[in-house]
Amino acid sequence: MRTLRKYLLVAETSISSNMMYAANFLAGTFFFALIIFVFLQLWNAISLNSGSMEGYTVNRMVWYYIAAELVVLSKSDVFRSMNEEIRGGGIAYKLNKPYSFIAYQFSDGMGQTAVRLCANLPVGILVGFLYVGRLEGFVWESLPAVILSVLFGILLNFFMDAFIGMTAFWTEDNSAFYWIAQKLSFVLGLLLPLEFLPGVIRQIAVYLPFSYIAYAPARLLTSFSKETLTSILPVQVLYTALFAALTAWMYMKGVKKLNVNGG
Amino acid sequence: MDKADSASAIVAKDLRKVFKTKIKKEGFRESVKSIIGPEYKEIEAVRGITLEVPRGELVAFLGPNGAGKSTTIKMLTGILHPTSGNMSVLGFDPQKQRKELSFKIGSVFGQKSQLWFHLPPIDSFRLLGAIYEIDGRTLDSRIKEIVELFEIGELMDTPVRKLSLGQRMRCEFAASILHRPRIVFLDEPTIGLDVLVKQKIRELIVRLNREENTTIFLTSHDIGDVEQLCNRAVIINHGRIVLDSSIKALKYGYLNRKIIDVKFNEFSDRSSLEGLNIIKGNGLAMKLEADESGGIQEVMSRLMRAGSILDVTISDIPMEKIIGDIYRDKDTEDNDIEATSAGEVRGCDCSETEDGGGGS
Amino acid sequence: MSTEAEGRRNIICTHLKLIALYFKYNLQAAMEYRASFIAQSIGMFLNDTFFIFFWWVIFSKVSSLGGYGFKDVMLIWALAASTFGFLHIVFGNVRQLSRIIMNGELDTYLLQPKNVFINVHCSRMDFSAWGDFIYGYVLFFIVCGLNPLKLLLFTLFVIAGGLLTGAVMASADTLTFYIGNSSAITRIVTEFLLNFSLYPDSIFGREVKWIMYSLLPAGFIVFIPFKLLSAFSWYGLLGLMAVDTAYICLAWLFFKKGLKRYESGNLITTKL
Repeated sequence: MRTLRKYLLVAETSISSNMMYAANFLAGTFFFALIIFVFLQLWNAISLNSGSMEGYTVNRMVWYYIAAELVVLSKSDVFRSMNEEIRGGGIAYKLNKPYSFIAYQFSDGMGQTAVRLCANLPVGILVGFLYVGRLEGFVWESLPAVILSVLFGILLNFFMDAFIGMTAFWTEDNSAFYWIAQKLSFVLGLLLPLEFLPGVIRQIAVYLPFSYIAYAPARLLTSFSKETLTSILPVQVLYTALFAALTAWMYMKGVKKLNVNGG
Repeated sequence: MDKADSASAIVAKDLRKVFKTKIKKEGFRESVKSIIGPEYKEIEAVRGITLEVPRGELVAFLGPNGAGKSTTIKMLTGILHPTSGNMSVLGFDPQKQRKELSFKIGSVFGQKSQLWFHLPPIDSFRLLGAIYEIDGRTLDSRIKEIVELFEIGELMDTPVRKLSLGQRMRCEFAASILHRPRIVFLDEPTIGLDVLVKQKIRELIVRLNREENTTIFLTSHDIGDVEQLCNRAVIINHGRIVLDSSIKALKYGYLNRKIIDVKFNEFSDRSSLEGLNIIKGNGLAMKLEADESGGIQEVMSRLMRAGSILDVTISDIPMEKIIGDIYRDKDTEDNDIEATSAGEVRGCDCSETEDGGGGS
Repeated sequence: MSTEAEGRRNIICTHLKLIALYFKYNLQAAMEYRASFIAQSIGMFLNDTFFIFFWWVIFSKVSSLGGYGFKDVMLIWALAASTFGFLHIVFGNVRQLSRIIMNGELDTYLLQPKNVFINVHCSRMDFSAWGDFIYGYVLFFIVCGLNPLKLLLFTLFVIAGGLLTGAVMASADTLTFYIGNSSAITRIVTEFLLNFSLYPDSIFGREVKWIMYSLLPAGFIVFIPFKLLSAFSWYGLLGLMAVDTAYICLAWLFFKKGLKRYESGNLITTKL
């Protein structure tokens, strides 16, 4: 109980320190609204003659982007802060503190995400209703699954970043890995829904973890069915668990290396 | 030297600077509040400074942190616009003729570097040469001259990041006088340097003053800088001048005292300590104050007689304490002469004993 | 009269020389960290390439978008990428200005006998911007081939557009003198300029176009140059240059006015 309270306090502190940068924050939500607006205009123009594409009407497309961007824009800075701790040697100093390094990073990151999510969610919903109105074919029953999928999208994103951050124990410069992962999750599901991608790329993307960050919740929201639910959510959960486990394993290995070599 | 403007390097009349700062309180509610309707607080950094510095003088501008030293220098160099007051630096108005003035002044500003961190100093010198519009041949001969003067020949081709702090400081100083400035503003030029390098920098300052008749305007926390370099000291506190006198007079009144920390192994003759100015003392360790003019030797020999000494250090009185003392003296004086108001306070106690060595 | 004109020409010359020198020394400093410099540039180049993929997918489904074909959109991208690249290479401090003003780092520039506005902007180079800059030229050659006249025009637009973009961003930063940290506003302005420069302007409604040709002139940065590249006219070119000059002068005057309120390092928000 007491340990839990400790991490809640970390999250809380993270929330209030993020609140201090209110202006930056407003700029972030503005960026969100702007991107969705540009995409709305773009898809309006694209589907002027065809009505819908790959099953996406303009309305669905806009809601798709809102859900996908919501997950990605709410991401924490865990990669950067972990990298700084590990490479700058700050971690050696934190090892003897009575908390778990990963749990600390997790609470801190989730605090950041919570703040961003709370700002972006209302903006997203508002912008969606203003631009295209209610989502076509939306059913209330899908909501719990969508919320769950958004959460797992965020968690997967977090642990993937943390996993890459852990490589700092071994490499001098791991920002290239981070960059590649970011670009892959951008191309596979954020820039365009998977349905638009050419056959082979799409086939591969389904097996890779990257589309389960943004594509998964957005797809679930815009075309909810039992089949999409069973084909998406379990994979999302599995990948999240896998990356969480990998992070913990890497951390243990890394700390051992640190103890042997002396930070 | 008379009041003729051409003879003065710096003339400032009743300079004032008020800053407005946003007040930020802690807590979520207050953060939101400060976005909607921020509260402001006015801070008077400089409250009426009147000053005249003749050309070729070496002036120390002293005071504790936050006294308004930097703000004053920034106004004199054209960085900040004063809230009110007039000034003229080398006959220019810094506020309106910043560019013209900047050709004639140089500065070494605290930890702000003019040199490019990743490049050797020579590249920065060439860039500065272009900034100050020095033509190629003149620049080459000037660089040669300065390199000799500062003995930085072997440093010129090493990237700045690989230089030691002392080496960097020398190059920094050299960079600031490339364009033969008539006044050099030095803000804490010896901070963080070891004794030998400090001495080197001081020598350079003196030579620059003598050989090129450059006016030096220096701020420092280091009493040594002031004692060895300057012929006049202006002390400010809370944005006002509290003392403006020659170093000789200041030395006589305040700088000639030393603090002696001593630790005894055991006492043999405690009575020989009687009459000494002991500020703090418990048991075998004590702190004393002594006068430089002949007094130190006397104190030391008495200490030796008192017992076997384990450890002893002699140090300058910190700047903060000197200013505190000047204040205390002023207060008692103010009680006598009530007419001395809060406006411009010149250190009359010292200027009367002045023997003409300073700048008046 | 003639001496005054001469003096003015002299001022322009010394400042051009200053920009060239900063460029040279920045590049030399970058060469101290060659590997990282090249990696950053390649990264930016690849990043831009992903968007070709996006447009390729889109244009495999529709043949034209508001009158724009695949090649047209590529040319817009070429213009936008090289323009932003040029700005960040030559005037690398453009994104830092607000922070520089806040932290009192303007002091260094104020102590030097050069135009502060130019001096502060060109003293730094944003290395990753080389990727953008080269990317734009590669795209240009793919779309227009080796056409020296168009290349010359393209380069002119890249420089003019870069200066215009810089002027608008600097104006947002100049607000720092009045309201404190304005980097968030600069960020918004930049995002707007960028996002409205990367898509065919015909997809936007009238209201957006008003903004694109006034307060946030993405239209003058990319679309007028694009139209002039496809159908050249002297009137169009001269008009564009006049508009660019006006924006730049306004930005400079605004900065000059703001500078009087500069507080050096003394603007500290006191925490109670």
